[in-house]
Amino acid sequence: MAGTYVFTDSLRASLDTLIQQNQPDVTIRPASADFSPEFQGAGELLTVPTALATDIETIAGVVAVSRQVQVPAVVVLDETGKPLGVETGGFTSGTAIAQDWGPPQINPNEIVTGQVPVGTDHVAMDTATAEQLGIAPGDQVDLLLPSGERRTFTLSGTTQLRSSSGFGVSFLFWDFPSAQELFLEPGQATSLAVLAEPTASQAVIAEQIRPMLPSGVEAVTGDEIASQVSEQLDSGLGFLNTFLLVFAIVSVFVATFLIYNTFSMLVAQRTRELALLRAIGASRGQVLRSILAEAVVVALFASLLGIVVGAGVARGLQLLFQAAGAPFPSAALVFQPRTIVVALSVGLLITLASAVLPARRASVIPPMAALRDEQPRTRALGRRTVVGGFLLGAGVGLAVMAPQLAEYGTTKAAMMAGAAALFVLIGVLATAPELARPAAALIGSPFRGVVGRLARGNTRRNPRRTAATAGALTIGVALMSAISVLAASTQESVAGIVDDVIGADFVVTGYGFQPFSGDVATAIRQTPGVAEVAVVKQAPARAPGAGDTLITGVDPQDIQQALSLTVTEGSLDDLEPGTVALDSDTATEIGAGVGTVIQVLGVVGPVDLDVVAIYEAAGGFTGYVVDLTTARDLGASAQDNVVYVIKQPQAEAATVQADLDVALEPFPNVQLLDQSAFKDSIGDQIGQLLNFLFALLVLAVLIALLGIVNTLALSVFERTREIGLLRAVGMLRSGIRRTIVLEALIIAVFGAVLGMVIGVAFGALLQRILASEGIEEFAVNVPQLALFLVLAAVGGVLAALWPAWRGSRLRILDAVAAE
Amino acid sequence: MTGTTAARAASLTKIYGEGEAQVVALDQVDIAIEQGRFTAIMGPSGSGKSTLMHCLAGLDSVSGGQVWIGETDLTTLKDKALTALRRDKVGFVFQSFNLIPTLTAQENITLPMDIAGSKPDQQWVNLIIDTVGLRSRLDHKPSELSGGQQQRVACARALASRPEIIFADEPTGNLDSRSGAEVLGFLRRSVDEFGQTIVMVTHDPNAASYAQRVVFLADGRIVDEMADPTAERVLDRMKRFDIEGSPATEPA
Repeated sequence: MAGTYVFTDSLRASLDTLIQQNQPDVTIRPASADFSPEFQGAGELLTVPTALATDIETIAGVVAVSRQVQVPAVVVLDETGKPLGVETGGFTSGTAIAQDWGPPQINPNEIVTGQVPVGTDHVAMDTATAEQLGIAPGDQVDLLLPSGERRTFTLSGTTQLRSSSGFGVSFLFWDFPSAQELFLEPGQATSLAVLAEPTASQAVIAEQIRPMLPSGVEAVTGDEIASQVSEQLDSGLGFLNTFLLVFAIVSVFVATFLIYNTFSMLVAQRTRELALLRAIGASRGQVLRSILAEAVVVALFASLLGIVVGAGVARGLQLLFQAAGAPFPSAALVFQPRTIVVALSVGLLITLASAVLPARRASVIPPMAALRDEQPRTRALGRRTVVGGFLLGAGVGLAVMAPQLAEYGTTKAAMMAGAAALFVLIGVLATAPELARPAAALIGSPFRGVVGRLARGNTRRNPRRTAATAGALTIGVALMSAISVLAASTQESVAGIVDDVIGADFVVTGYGFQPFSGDVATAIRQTPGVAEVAVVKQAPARAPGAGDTLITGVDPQDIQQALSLTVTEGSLDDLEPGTVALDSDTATEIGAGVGTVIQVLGVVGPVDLDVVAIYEAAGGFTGYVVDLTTARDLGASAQDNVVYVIKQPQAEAATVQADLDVALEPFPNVQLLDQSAFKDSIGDQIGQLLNFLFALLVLAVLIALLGIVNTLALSVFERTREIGLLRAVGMLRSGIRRTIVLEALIIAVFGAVLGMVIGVAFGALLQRILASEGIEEFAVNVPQLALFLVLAAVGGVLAALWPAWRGSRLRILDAVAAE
Repeated sequence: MTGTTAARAASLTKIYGEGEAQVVALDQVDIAIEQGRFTAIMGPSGSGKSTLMHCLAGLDSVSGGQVWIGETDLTTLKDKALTALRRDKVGFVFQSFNLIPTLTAQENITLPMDIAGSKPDQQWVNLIIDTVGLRSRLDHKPSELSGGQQQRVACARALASRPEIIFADEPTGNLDSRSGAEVLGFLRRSVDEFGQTIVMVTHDPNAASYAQRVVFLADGRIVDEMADPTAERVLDRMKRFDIEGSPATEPA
């Protein structure tokens, strides 16, 4: 919990610093550069005339105007000529931001080694990238420029940000004239940065600048940019935060279980002690309060510890992300008071909440219990089972209804499924004690002999405890299984879509989905055996029903050969300049049909488009589709994003592929995929997301395993006498250990299997709900689920090691003499 | 005093704690337990009688001296060998029954053999079950049995593996007098009829009267012994402890 907050706060803080530090007082930039960052740079590179700088410098309060060049999608090549980072599967996949090396007032970077780059032969780059490449100033480095030109530069120096470390994206620097020569037309810059006197008002200066600007160029103050970027970050990080919080809630839920268990056991153990207190005159209230007071102390201590551990976990996550190559800065951890307050109060609340029931039970212990050597009572499970059964029924009912809701909107159905999952989970946990007896007998049945019999007996002795301990694991495994099923189904469905939709034999994409030079398509066309080539361009735009999005530009004839799209209304053949095709979901959402006119905001300004066709979304091919001319009008760059290749029917696929490989050699930033490789590459992306989810869920599972340790340790304590007897009548230490380990194994497998059943069921349910979103196939990744089961079992055994060791070390006499 | 010894201790010393807090529980005790006899160890609280039994049975380590069961010197054994010896040659009956609650009466009786992985002598086990009168309760869990029945299960368990010696620690301590008498009668019969060797620790003169020999312990030393005791004679002897105080505090 605390880990979540610390992590996101740290992230935010370092990004905030970055933004604040890096903003000049006023920036002159092309308008509509405020699209979400993930869409920036996808389109045509827009520029600002540098001549403006001279005029602006005359304004009072302006100290300097710096002409800036910032170009995304320069590719750093490693010594093998491959884009840097491709081999390691990093998120950024070897793209770099090319910048000019500005004057120190507005340049947040500083030179670490070597010197400032001068001339078109020299480049500086951030230290991390240089280290990755293993080069030092004076060494050569190959870069692939956006034009498609491959060029060798000499490294002049390495750089770093003054205030924090970098993003994981590579930064490359030239002096301004060189950057301009390499990337832009003469007399152009991508933006102008205005440095004002400290006393001058940003807003006033911006006001004075605005009349000088040609259309399509805007002046924005540093504060405005900072807040814009900050907002975008907030929504981005907010998602991450929500996401992490959901897991935190799961963890807390599991932890509540654990605390409840622990206190129940404590109370059971202390029955005599508490009864004695009652016998000598303590009131029920006093007993209740004493337990709750204990809970408070424990909670405070644990929460504080949790915050420390949480910070550790956050740091671990940071490192994890960095190891995965994710673009997160590695600033110091940030503690906000909120984090501590939330962590403390949540810790306190859940501990108290989970201690109340056991405490109440403790307070009703009759004084007479002190005089009897009473085993902890196993109460009838009746009422609990009935309630649990009811919840289970309700949950199943909701689950059955949920797919029907899908017509009214996937979100509603998914929410209903979520509620159903919650009900079923609680219901199952409530009824689990009933299940625990037969299940333990079943799971334990392969283990013969006295050890097996004892372990089985122990898990069945207190089914409530067994179920509660296993329950924590159930939750974690249920979530993991559901995600696994969903992912497997998605992969299967995507593969199905690729099979059904993509008629092309090969797909060419840029690494990291970066656009690539139009020369690629030309080279492919000239390759023998190639029949058809369909080019896909993307233009960033703000469009109704899609928000900030990428509009797909295609040649209608070519694309219909490469993809088999289902058109429900109109015809893709009518797609010509000024028209658009929409997928059916978007069309329904904005109420558009053939003939509707839609205004779309491209990077160069608003464009009106006539709807001429409605098609069914097919996998990644969705949203707004226009012809290539319109795409360019909207601001798509000259570069291509995807090229579909269809071979001549009589040509040998392997031969064509080999020829294409040769033809594409000059373009190291693109990859050629046949259909199966394309499926795999999509599968890999899903797999990556999946691994991230699993990493988080592992936390919940770890907590659950901790619960097993806890339960067993207390069980061992409770059973001191039995263990002593077993030792006395000749059981070896190893026998005791085996018994306890086996008990843990039974609990773990019980919890995992239960969770898996629930998880797979809900994975299936979600798949049905999401069928309309393209997840049409149901698939179960059996090896993965089997792995979960094995891991849960192994985890259970590991969890038992310490209690088992303790149990085997009990002194027989203590055990036998324990009264 | 005919017959061989089933267990024996020589200069057995047991010291708890260190320094100021040091307590001598057993002080140079020499004792021999004859085979096929029912020996009771008696003494007031704190006399060391339980400690003596625990040391004789290999449940507790000794501070000095030696302990034999049969021809085996327990003080030289490691935990593993000691455990095996307990399993194969020693039976136990405890005051608080100490049955495994998850196992049925039948399973509890055969537990030591199950642990050893050996096959119980079914005829023998049947004989014992009939002798203790548990035939109809075999499938019951301990919690479904009365205290007397539980202790009879414990006795049956101790006998089932035909150990060389059975140690009983206050076997009637938690029983009413009728159940206690049943258990004691059964222990005596197992000595008379099956030739079992039994060592029983008790502070109850009545229980001691079932034994063939009583050894009196006070302050960690054997102070007296009595053959073919009756409850009255034992009680008389015990009263003298109370009057004299413990021998250790007597002027030398």
